[in-house]
Amino acid sequence: MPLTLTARIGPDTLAKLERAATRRFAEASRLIDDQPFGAIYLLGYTVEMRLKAAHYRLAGVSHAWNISHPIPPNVDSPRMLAERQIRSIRGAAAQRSVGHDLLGWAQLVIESRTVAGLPKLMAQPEFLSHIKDAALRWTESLRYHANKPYNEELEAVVKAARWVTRNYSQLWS
Amino acid sequence: MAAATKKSGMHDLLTRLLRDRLKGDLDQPALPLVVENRALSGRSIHLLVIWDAWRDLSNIERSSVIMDAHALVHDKEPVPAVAMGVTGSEAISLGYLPFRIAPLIRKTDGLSLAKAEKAMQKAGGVQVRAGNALDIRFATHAQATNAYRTLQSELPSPVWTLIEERPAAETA
Repeated sequence: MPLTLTARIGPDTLAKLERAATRRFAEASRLIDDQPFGAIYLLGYTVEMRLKAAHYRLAGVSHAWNISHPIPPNVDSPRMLAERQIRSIRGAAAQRSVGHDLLGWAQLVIESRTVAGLPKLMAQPEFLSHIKDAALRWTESLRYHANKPYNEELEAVVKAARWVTRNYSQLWS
Repeated sequence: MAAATKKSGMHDLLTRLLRDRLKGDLDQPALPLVVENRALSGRSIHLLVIWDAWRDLSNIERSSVIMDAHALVHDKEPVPAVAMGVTGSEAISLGYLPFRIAPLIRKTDGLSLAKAEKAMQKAGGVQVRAGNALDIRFATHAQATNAYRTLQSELPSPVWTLIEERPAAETA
C-alpha cells in the first residue's frame, strides 16, 4: 500500500527546508503577475525557511537530522532551542508561537553567528531592513484572507525574498 | 546635495535626542520607547526603539542613529548586535506593543472622555486612536505600569485598564 503524501513527507530537516525554500520561491515567482496575494503568501515562507535553515547550519545541525528531535546530549530539539532563544531576544513582544516570527528568526541568525564565532554580517543592516519589510506585510495567517495587495507591498516582499535567496550562503558563512 | 545635508542634520538631531533618552530610565514610558533585550547566551544586546520622529528615515538610517546614540552613552559597553528602529504603527503591526492602557468610562463615573484623554497625554507611550477611542501602548510591562501610576495620580479613578495583548500565531 503506498503511503499518503502526508506520511511520505517525513520529518522536517535542514536539507528539506533548503529544498522547499527553493521550490516555494519558484512557485511564488509564477504567481507574481496574476496572483500577487498568493505570491506574497509563498514568498514569506521562502524567507522563513531560509532564515531557519541558516540558523540550523550555524547551530551545527546536520542536513538529515530531524530538527524536532534532540541532538544528544541536549534534552531539547534544535527547534525548541531556537524558539527559546527567539523568545529571549524578542522579550515581551514574543508571541505564544514564534515559529513564523521572521524578525525573531533574523535576530537569531545574527545571534548564532556570534555564538559560532563568525564575524558580523557585512550586509546586516540591509538584511534586517528586508526582513522587517517582509514581516510588516506577511503573516502565516494570510491564507485565511483574500485581500488585494498594493504594488508597494508586493514589491517589498519580492525584494526581501530575492535578497534572502541570493545572499543565503552569506548568512551562515 | 541639499537633501544629503538635510538628512545628515536630521540624523544628528535624532542621535542627540536618543542619546538623552538612553541616559534615562528605559522602564519609563517617555517617547521614544526603548527596549533592551538580551540573548540567552548573554553575549549580546538587541535594541529596539519605537519612535515616530524617524518616519522619513530608512530602516538602515534608523539603525545608524541608534548605534551612534548608544555609542555616545555606553562607549565602554559592547556594540548592540541588533539596533532596530520602528514607528508606532510599525511597532503595532510587528507586535512590539503588547501592553495597552485604555479608559473604560461608565456614565456613573462622572468623568468625561476629554478629561481622561488629557491625563493620557501625560502618561507617555504610543497613542492609538480608533474612532472616538484613544488608548496608549507600551513595549514592556514596566513601561505600562509606570504609565498606569502616572494616570492614577493625574486622575485617580477606577476607569484605567491595563491589558496585555498577545495574539496567537494562528488566527483562524
